Amino acid sequence: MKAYRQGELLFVPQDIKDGEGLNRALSEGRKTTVVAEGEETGHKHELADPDSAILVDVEDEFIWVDHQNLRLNNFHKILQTEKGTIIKHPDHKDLHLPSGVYYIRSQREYDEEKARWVRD
Amino acid sequence: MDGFQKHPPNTLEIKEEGMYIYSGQAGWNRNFYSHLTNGEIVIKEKHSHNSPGKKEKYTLCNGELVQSVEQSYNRKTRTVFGQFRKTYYRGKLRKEEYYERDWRIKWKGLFFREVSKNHIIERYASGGSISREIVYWKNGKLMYNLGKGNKNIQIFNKDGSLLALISLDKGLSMYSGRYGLHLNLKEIKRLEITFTGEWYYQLYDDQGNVRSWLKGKSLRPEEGVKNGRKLYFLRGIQVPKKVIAGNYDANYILSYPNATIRSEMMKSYGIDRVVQELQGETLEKREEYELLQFPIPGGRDPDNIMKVLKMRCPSTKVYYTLRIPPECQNIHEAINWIYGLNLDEIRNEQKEVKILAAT
Repeated sequence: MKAYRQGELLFVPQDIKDGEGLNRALSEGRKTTVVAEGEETGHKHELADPDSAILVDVEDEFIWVDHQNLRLNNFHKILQTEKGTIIKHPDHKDLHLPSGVYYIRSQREYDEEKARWVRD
Repeated sequence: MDGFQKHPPNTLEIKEEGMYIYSGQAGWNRNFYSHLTNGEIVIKEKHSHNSPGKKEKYTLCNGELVQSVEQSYNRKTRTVFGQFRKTYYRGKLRKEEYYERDWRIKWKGLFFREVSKNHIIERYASGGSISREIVYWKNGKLMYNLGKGNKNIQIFNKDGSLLALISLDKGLSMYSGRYGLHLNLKEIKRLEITFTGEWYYQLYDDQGNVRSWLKGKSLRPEEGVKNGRKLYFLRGIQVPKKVIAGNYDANYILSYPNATIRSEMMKSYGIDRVVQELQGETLEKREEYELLQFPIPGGRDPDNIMKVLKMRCPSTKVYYTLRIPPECQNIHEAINWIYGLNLDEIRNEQKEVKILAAT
């Protein structure tokens, strides 16, 4: 699995076969420009240019694309960019993502009861 | 004999009503199959040296089973089909259940009454579902009268004095077939009962003073006092005051026996501080990563060891620490687990996350 990383966030490029499923996910999911809110610092990971990509929240959705359930695989956002995009965060350098589709998940931390996913 | 079979209901072709009685276990050429419309069937089990044997009597009227009496040991159950079932124990009536024709509980009024060791329960229906439970002490005094949707409930002692007062923000859900009381007196007295929604209850002592109370939300207690002593809770679990006050150190956290509380304290104290305070054992160190382990005296295997991955952010150059499963053997497994792969995928399928760029 290849991925781009900014802080605790992982952007996993996808080779989508089920274009219809992806379009449905992109149109039904909640649109946003914030990739992740900072839980402790209040600093956000967000799109530098909101017009450069479609970013949707699938956190509360039960979405399947290419026989894969995004939530079950702990992905919380889908990003699609035609010409490439930049993710910015006050504490990190800009992350340049080439054109494509990305599923986004956070790093996780082990909890004796359940593994939880990190938000800085 | 293994049962009775009701004849199919009347149709245009079949005029006859009734029931067939047949045996299924008597053996080849010995089974019987008879038609019955009126009369009594009596089944007696053989007496044995330690059992008086079971006796069953079924009464048929116009092809319908109207009554049954089952007797075994000191228990007798009489059922009048579609009306009631009464259970006697040593000749005394212990349980009464009242039904409609389709075996649902009685549409309106008393549908259940049971005399148990310490109390008498009565349940009433309205519109075919339970609407009220009234419980009496054996001396006839009221214990409580709980109506569906009641938000304020009073519970009384055997002598009629007030024992507890319960306030709920939504009524208690009631179930007609519930085994035992809807309000468990032992749990209330021990301050162990919880409710859905927001709730509060207080207990009175002999002089009528409130010395214990408990308050909570969604089945979790949040605050309380027991015999004048304040109780502290975290995620619904009772904890010492120092846990709430944050008056502890890393050693205390790792020695705490409850995993939920240990994990809560770890979150509020910060894993970085725990790692700084306790000199853990370095298992592996390379580039900006370090894999450390710490013993957890209060933990249960495999959580009697805490493993953490300490790493440096490439942008900020600041070290941060993430807790990883104790099963992780090395930095490679730890990093890939943190990125979302399972240990099975990392070890057996040789999967790994290749970072193309990191900021």
